[in-house]
Amino acid sequence: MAREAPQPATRSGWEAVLDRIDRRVIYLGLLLFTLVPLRFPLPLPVYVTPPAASLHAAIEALPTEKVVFVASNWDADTYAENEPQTIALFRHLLRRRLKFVLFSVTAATAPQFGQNALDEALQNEFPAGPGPDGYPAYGVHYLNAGYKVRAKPWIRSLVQDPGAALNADWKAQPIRSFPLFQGLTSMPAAASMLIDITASDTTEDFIPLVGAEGVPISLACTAVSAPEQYPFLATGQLKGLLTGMRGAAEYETLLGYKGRATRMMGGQSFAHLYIFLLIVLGNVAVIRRSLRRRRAS
Amino acid sequence: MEPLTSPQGIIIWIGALVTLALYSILYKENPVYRVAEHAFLGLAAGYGLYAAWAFVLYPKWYQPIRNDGVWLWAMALVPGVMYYTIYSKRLNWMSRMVMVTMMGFEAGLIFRTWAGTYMRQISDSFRPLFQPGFRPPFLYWDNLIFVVALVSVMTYFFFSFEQKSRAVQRTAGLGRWLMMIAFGAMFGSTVMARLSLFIGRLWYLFAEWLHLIPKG
Amino acid sequence: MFNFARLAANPGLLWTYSLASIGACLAVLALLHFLPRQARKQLLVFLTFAAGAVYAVDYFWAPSPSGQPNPLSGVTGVIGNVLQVVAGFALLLGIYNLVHIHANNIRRTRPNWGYSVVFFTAFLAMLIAAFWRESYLWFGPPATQLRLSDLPPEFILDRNTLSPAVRTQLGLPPTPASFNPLYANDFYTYLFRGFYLNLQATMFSILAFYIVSAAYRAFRVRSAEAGLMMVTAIILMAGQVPLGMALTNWIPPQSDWSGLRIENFSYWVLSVINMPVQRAVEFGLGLGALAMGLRIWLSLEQGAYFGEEV
Repeated sequence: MAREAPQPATRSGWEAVLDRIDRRVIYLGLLLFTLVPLRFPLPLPVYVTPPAASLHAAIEALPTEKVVFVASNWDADTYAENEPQTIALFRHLLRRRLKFVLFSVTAATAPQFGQNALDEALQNEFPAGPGPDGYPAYGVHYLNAGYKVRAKPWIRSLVQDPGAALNADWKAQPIRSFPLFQGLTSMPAAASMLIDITASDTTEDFIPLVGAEGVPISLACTAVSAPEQYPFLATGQLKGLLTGMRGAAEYETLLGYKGRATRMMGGQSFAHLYIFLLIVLGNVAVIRRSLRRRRAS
Repeated sequence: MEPLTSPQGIIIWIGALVTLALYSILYKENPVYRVAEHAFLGLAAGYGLYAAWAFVLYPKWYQPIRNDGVWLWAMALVPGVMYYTIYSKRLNWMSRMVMVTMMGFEAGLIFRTWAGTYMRQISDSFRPLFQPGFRPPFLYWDNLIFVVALVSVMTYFFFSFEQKSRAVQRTAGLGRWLMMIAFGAMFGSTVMARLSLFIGRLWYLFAEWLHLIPKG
Repeated sequence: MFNFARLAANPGLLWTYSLASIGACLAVLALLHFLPRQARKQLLVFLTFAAGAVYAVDYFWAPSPSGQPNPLSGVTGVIGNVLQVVAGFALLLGIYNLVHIHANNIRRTRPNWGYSVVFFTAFLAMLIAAFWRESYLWFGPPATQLRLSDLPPEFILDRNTLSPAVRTQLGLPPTPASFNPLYANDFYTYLFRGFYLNLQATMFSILAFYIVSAAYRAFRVRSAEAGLMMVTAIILMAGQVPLGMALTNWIPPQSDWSGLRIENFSYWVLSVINMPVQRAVEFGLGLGALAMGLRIWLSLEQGAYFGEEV
């Protein structure tokens, strides 16, 4: 492309003002555009998209005698997106009275965050503690297996024998001492689904190593990585997908409660509007200048 | 404002103050931000060390030796320590032994991972284009768009031969346009992701700490 | 020697065997150290190939018609656990590096060495708090023999760990109504939920401001392709949020025009146009990964790390 000859600055008054806006003013604008709708929420609808609906339907259809493996692979850096997803998914598993195992392969702090989300889900679904049938009881119906270093060979061994691979819960209690893991052989025989709640690319390992062995996989990811997952949704290698905070809000809608994600979507809406206005403002000045240059030449 | 009378209150106050300390960078570089940043690094490193022992080494290495008498596990210390020879010029070939073995394991799994990921993708790419009996609307339009997009983008990335033919060049050009749509989707998603993180912090400050946003 | 149960009851003998096995490994390493360089290089090639061959053969060796896994599944299980241990030691490498850098800063009183003191304070605080929280594991009887009385109060108080019936059976007091495991009154929780969680979440949320600044200053539509990208981004951003969905709320959801509702239209763009583009890109990446994997397995890869002298 030919370089444009340098032109004297022929800018109108308001273009000069726009160019000189300090970045801190722009940051302040973001704060206001996001804070005001959070403080004064508008009754805006949250529509459920097909990937979230598919995930909900898939969990609804899970058999209660098998175990759900929940890979909580997120850290505090994606807390706002993954935490509401985790809470919503755990609430669904608890409502369906399913058995599940929580483990993590990406961040050492992930088991603690997953446990905190599970604690919150338990407080909401079972505020008075376990029911008359004893559900949910740690070690019997659910368990936190802690953090394991991510390695494809280890994931292969997890599929073959989850008890030997996980080895102990997050408090170093031998995992086969818990009723949940007694008689649990391989994942294809014992697992009804693997739900991956992640901020990274863990599906690259889970889909071929776990999914290809016959264990259905579902994904709750950050919005950044969501567009790349659509090829797997199309083939059924992923049974469902939650996309960031919006996905969490959709799932909360499906479960019939208004959680943090739903409440924060108002701020999300106006923040997007602010970005749109900034893009338009930034480009209007450029387009006007370029038209003026063409007219001058 | 959250009162400082309970553990919950104290924790929320701590969180709010460190949040504001980090956000001070948005005004300008300052020591408060640097202190908070280094505190975060230290906490992360400390937790990492604890997690390496408590979640991995203690249950998988120490417990089998100490509780079950499986002394063979003691030998796993040697390849673990061999990693640290990377700091020695004379001995760093030992760290390479460990690393090439680990890479070998991962490379051996390439067949399984490649087949498990891509065979379904390839078979799903062969989609019907014409309605059965060639009835209206005659074509599966979504499948047609799919095939055109897939072929044109794959043509764009085909570098084995020079793209001299005009048909190939135009197909690759179409692929570039379609990639712009995908990049736009990725940009939109990235914006949503980053804004979500900030909104989460705002919620923490104004709902959980200052109680200015209704939580219920 | 392989009667592990007997050895578990005899710590002296256990230590002897453990140290002897470590010594044997070190002796082998010492012998290998005196090999000529060329022989060492061939050893590395052999190790890479043998390691990869285990999993390659495991993949191509089908299970028996009755569904029994192939005989290599036992080996792959052990390898998985050994790798965990080796990788666990490797985790410490990054932490050692950080500690080493900050220790040097303090030792040599480099500029801003005070921040390194902050680093060590936080490092030691978290280390002590995390280990202290589970002191019953490190300083008590082995994990398999733990009694409830060895556990700290909040572990027992956690209502989700023990049901009321079990608590009654064990003679434990009922969980106080005010107890919240998310905000337990211990040093670890103050550090983790107060400091660590908020520090990390805030660190990454600063990116939102940079996105906003870039949207204003850097996102310039200078070509038709950039324009198409921007239009797509705006449509998808609108389709993701309730405010955008409200713009096309008036189109009946069951009508023939429902495809024009922005959430449906953005889903269509994602699943019909974005999806094949992503798939095509992934095909290219996948072929590259396959080629790279084969090159590493067969030690054909040269340059950078692989071409270094052994």
